[in-house]
Order: sequence, then C-alpha cells, then structure tokens
Amino acid sequence: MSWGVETQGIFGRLPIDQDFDNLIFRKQGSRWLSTGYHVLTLESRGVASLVVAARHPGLDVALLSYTNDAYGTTGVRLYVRGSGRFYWRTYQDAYPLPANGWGMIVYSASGKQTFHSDHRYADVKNSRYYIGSSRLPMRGHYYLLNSPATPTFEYETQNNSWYYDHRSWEQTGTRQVYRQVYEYNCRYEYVYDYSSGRYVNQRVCGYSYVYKWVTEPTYGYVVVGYTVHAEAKVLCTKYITLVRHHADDYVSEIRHRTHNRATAYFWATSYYDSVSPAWNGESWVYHQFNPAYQGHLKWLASPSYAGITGHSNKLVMLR
Amino acid sequence: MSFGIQVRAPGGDVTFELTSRLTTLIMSRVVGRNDSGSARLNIPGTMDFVAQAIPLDGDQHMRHVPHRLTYTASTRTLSWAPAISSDAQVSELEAWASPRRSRSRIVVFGYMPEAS
Repeated sequence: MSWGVETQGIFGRLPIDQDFDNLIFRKQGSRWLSTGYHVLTLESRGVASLVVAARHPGLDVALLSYTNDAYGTTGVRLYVRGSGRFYWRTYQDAYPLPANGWGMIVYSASGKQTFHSDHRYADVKNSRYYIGSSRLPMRGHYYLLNSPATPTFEYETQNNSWYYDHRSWEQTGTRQVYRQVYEYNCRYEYVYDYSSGRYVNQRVCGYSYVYKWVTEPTYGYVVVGYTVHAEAKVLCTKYITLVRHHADDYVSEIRHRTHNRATAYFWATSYYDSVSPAWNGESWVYHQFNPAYQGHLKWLASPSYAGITGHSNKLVMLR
Repeated sequence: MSFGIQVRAPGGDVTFELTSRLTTLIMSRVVGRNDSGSARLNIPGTMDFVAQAIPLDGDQHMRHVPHRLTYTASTRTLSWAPAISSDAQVSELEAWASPRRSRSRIVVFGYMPEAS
C-alpha cells in the first residue's frame, strides 16, 4: 500500500488504502415468518451485487434463490421451518459520499473515493467451511445468507408386474362309473278280478336295483386366459438444507426431508391375454413395458442420476 | 476494542468501526442456466475467499439447482457448470421431483482469514 491506514490485528493486516472496497451496509429489516415457502421482497428495484445477511433465532431457514429484476437483486426466496422473526441486512458495493463533516476519506491516485468513514462497512467476524451438525456461535452477528439449500434429489425406480388366471367351471370330460342304478321294469301277470270272476292279464310295473357301467361328465376349473399387470414407479426422496439458528445464538446445519420415497412418476398397464406370461428372472414380463415408459426413464439407470446435489457453501459471518 | 479503527463524532459516538477483516467483492456475475465457463480469480495474496452460486430462479416446488463451482488452486481458476445435465431428462416427473437448471449469480468475496 502506498497511502492510507494500516492496522495489524490478530486476524491479519487491515489496510484501508487505494484498493479498499469493502461492502457497505445498505438497510435492514425483519419479518415474522412461519413454516413454509416465502418470497421476501427487500428492494422495490433490483440492486446489482446486493448481498443479503440474516439472523433468525429459533427458526430454520434455507435460501432457495434470489429474486431479481433487470437491475439486480430484489429479494430472496426462503423456506422456513418454525415460526419467528427473520432479521435481514443488505450490503452492496461502496459508492462515494460527499466530503463534509468529520471522519476519514481515502482516495486512490486517480481521485476515486475508496473509503468514507460515514459508510457502515461489512466486517467479517468469522468463517467456516460449511458447519454441518457442529454448532458455531453467532455472537450476535449476521451471516451471509448463502445457499446450502440446494435441493437434493435421490431417485429409485421400482418395476413390478404380476398376473392372475381367468378360470371357468366347465365340463372337462367323461368317466365310466360302475354303480347301482334303479331300473324301472314292467311285466304282465294274471290277476283274479272279483267283479268279473275271471283272471285277467294285467301290466304290473316297479323298480329294481341293478349294477351297471354308466358314463357321466366330469367338471373342473379351466384356465382360459391371463390378466397381466405391469407398473413402473420412480420414487424420489428430496432434501433441502436449512441453517438452524438456535435460540441460544448458535447455528448448525440440518437436512430437511421434504419428500420421503414419494411417487414422482407412475406408469401402469393391464391387459388380458390367453397365453401364459413368462418369468424373466425379475418380473412377469409378457410384453415389453410400454416403450414410452422406457424412453422417459432410461436415464435413471445411469448412475450419474442416482442423486442430484448442489455444492456446499462456506458460512461467513458479518457485522 | 483491541485493534482496528474507530471513528467518533464530536459527541463521542462511534460512527464507524472496523475491527477485523476486509470483505472485497472479487466477482459478481450472472450466468445463464445452460452456461458453463471459468474465470481466473485475482485474490489479494493475504486474503481468503468464499465462492457461492446463488440460484436466481425459483418456485414453490423448491427445485432449482444453481451451477456447480470448482476451484483449481494451482491456476486460481473458478469454473462453473450446470449441476444437472439436462432439464429434459427429468421433465416427466412430478413438478416437485423434477429439478430445474437455474441461472446463477456467482459471487466471490475476499476476506482476511481468521486466526487459527
């Protein structure tokens, strides 16, 4: 550094010189939030390079994205768990202020104002590679609202197929049975008739038992066809990562599962066929699955799509 | 205050205080949803830095995925690429399960590392 102010602190060199370009405080606010998805508009017109910092004791918060217009950032989309007050501050690039009153101004050689003590400059208090489940003390500071919230998608495919028979009760054949049967038989006898005083030849009928071979039908269930069901499912487990700001002013990271093996895609078919399906070692495949299904879901077989994750960010605390 | 700079008004009020480290915006850049690229970071030698890819698109399904960042220390190069290979491949899934590429704002801050 060729001019300016330099302080040697325990955290390192602090030069306020011609290259100084700390972010400056812009404004702050708070809003009561409860569990759910929220869009917070912080600026009526977008600000380029706007940095958003947050505190939310007692709440779990995930930054989903910034909202923006043609000029820059206008706000944030958040997912919140719990209910409580969310405090935010915004920071932006420094801009020159008029030189009046008291304080200190630093200019570069070209006359650009690089420091003005009337600005409230961002001051990093701590930083950590993403905190995980460990607890990091906030000590009243804000942290840069970053996006560990990147959703994580884990997919699982399930194919299932089964069939059942269609049966009909019908005659399947005949069999010979040797059985006792009644037989009706008649004969003529001479019977005395008192009215006429004569014997008359009269027909007399009756039953008798006989054993003989008879043919009778046999019945049984006959499989006349098959109904084949096939279904394919994609199950998805989805997580977002939240920053938990404990009421005692520590922060830690928690993973929040928004969907647990929920069906994200379902395809099913059912058809009748008179020919028996075949076991292919995995499922009862009769016809190939719907080609459309195969086209849509082919990518899931690729290991690179087993899960979709973003990257983790560093946590930076500001004052 | 044991170190740093304070500026006080005549009444004694602290109007400005800087106690520890600088924050320097090294890069702020919006990249399109299908863009990938890289940039060499010019980070002052004593500084640490933090790089974030903040998604700019979003909806209530919470499914937008920002770019994946990779930093190569030897060349001081920050690279970015969409974190999912294609929107089209997952478009058949239910909306909540169908990740979307997002535009990202890649922000890199430089700051003094903390004492360890």
